[in-house]
Amino acid sequence: MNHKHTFFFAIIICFIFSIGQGHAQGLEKLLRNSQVSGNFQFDGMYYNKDSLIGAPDVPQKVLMNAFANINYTNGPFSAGFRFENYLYALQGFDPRYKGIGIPYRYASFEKDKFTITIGNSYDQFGSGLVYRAWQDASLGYDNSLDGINIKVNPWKGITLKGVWGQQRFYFDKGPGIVRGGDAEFVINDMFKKLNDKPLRVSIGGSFVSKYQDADDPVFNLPKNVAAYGGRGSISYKGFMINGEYAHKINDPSTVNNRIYKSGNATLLQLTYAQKGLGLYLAAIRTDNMSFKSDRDAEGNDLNINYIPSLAKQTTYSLPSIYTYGTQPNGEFGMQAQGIYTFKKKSVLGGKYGTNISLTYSRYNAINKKQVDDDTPIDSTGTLGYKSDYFKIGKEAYYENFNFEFSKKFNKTFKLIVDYFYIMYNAKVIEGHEQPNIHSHTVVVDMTFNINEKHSLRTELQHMYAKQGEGSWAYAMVEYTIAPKWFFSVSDMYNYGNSISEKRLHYYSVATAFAIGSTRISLNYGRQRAGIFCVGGVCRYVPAANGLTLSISSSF
Amino acid sequence: MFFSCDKIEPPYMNVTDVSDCPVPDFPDVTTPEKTILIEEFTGHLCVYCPTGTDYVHQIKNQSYGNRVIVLAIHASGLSDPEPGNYSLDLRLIPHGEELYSYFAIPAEPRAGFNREKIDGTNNFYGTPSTWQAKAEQVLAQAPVMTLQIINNYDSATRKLCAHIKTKFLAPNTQNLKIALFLSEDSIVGYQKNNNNAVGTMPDIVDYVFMDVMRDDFTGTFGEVLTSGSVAQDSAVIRTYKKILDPGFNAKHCKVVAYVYDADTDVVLQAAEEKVY
Repeated sequence: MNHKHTFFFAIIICFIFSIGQGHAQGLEKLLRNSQVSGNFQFDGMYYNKDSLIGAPDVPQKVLMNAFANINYTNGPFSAGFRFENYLYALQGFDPRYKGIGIPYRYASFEKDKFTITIGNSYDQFGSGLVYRAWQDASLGYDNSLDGINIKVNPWKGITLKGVWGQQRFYFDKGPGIVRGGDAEFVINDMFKKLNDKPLRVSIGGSFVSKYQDADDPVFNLPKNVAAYGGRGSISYKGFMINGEYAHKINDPSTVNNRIYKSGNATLLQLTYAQKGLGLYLAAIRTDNMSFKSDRDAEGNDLNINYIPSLAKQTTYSLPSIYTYGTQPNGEFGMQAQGIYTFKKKSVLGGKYGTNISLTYSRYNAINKKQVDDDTPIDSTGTLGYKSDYFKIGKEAYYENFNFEFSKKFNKTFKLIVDYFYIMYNAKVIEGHEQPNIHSHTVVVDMTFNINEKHSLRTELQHMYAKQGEGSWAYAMVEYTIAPKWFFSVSDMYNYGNSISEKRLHYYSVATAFAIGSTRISLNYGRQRAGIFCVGGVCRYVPAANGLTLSISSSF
Repeated sequence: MFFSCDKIEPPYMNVTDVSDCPVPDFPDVTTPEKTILIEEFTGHLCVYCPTGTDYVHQIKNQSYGNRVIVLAIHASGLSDPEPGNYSLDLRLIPHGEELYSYFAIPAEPRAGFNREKIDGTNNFYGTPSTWQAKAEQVLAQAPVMTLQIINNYDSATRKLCAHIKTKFLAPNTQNLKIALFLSEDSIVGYQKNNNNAVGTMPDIVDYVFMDVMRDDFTGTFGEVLTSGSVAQDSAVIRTYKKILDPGFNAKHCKVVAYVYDADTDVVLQAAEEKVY
């Protein structure tokens, strides 16, 4: 019996034992307080070979990803697991997701200001610059920590956390051990006199260390690598400013070409909000801040920390072609955003109000200089480079300007118009040797609510670009019969590709049917090769042609 | 936990003591010739790979003499050992995966020819249909340097001293790196196959793996050879030492060396020499 099964066996024994020891009333109380919840997701695809778009022949013809979360709660106690099934994983997901298993299981209880979790846990210290364990099924990302997670609130306003374990690595665990602690003090909550003051202050600090054995004949490698950081937040009425600084000691790894320079990251955010107006200004600088529990890991594997992305994200298809992926080896980014709502019943607001937003974000390299005249930048087995903290590197990675207009004209018609200018450095973000791409995209999104049950939504998009794959046009029509049926037809046409054979249509036909919380959808069409990103974390999606069946349900 | 930091002070890399490896005299190279490094990405679970390897051997066996050097890199999930017939592990970890990832290899078989881009693409690595033409194109170039290897092997202690010499045939200003690997021939194991012209299908039970990248001397991406200006006729001699892994058959092992441009990754010259 392996350790995973032992864990569940122990939980079941405890459960039976508690019933056996109890009397009828106890049993009734136990059952009355018990809650079981969960969800299920299945995505399967039948693949057609499509040499025009570069979709390969898939030997298995059909591939699938499926998972189910089952959670049990009874007052302060909770336990659960996630069953995962990849036979084999869909194209674009790491092939190491292969097989069936229960890579996530936990039990947790709250007692005397303590919350103790054993098994897998997700958590985050501050904004995640030194520690974030999280999961996103659409990315195929899961770095849950298998071990212990203890949280305690010894005093009102004080939260202390501790974690200790190994990270999930597909159906296995990473070789390193992660240990960490975090303390957060919400000053206003700690002192009764300050509870209701408009000026609110909180501070926090984190420390995380990883251990990985080292037996390298060439490199003198650190077995213990620590990262630590401090953060603070001050808010007054509609204003809020918060900042976090993190530092990491020497951590030679595959990602940083085994250099011995220390790393650091700074995140600053300023927000102002009042009725009808929101302003946001943020900046981030990261320098050699990839922090993984395996120094040989690459890509999204075994990240201990998380670098937030300040690039504008959108769900619209064409501007999503060029989405920014964070560069942990070094980047300097910023975002400025303003959102304004014209009041209802004003000239510009009309009956339902009008929203406009302006967003600008930009990423550049950090400044890098040789450590001495003889050592090229990033040379293995050296300090790598020197960096002037306040100097921004010349190379631009990404730029995004977005204007959005959103208005509900009447009960039946809503309009959203977007303009995006995106500069995309494909060489840095995707590793392709090609000139920077400059694209201009206009999106018109119209929703017609025909009646309470029937609605029609259309998206018309056009992207103009000379570089990369050139210009695109996109049209989509979506018809919804609430609450059960959904139909859509769309086409992305790469009419401006400089290679005439690649001026292709990426068509798609989809339908979905919902019964309560269960949704079944079918989609047939082509999928363009590219990258898919969530919060700056990306995965490569290969070209595909085929029929997709998705089923999701929850209880 | 709060003291869990290992601050490493220089030197960051262990400098191997090679004082017990006396440097031999290198013979003069009278007729310098361009050589080509073929990095072949393959795997024993890859059904197309025997065909790919067959193409590589056809190129190597043409009348190019010793000008074609092959390094078979077993990487990705198609090289993973599996219980049963496919338990043989020919991967060099992490080097194979690092190269596979660095060059964004989409699938096997793929091969690179001095890491020069395949015509009309941005890829260093092409499918078999592009290989012959690329090999001819690279071999037609004039050499910019010579690269020689002399090995001294002590079978009692399995100590291998590998000496290399590069000599520049013209002034050079590139940032150059040198990488050394150990390759092994004649390893027999199972190989998936879907081409009955090269072996039984679906499995070749006694497939002979050649040129397998087994060990390294310099790390995945090598070490700095020169940076800045180098005069014509200047030479660099280096010595590397390694105790051969007892799992390797020394008689079937070769030292493979190549010099490449650290900025473009293009290989300028390559060489190989049997351990003994």
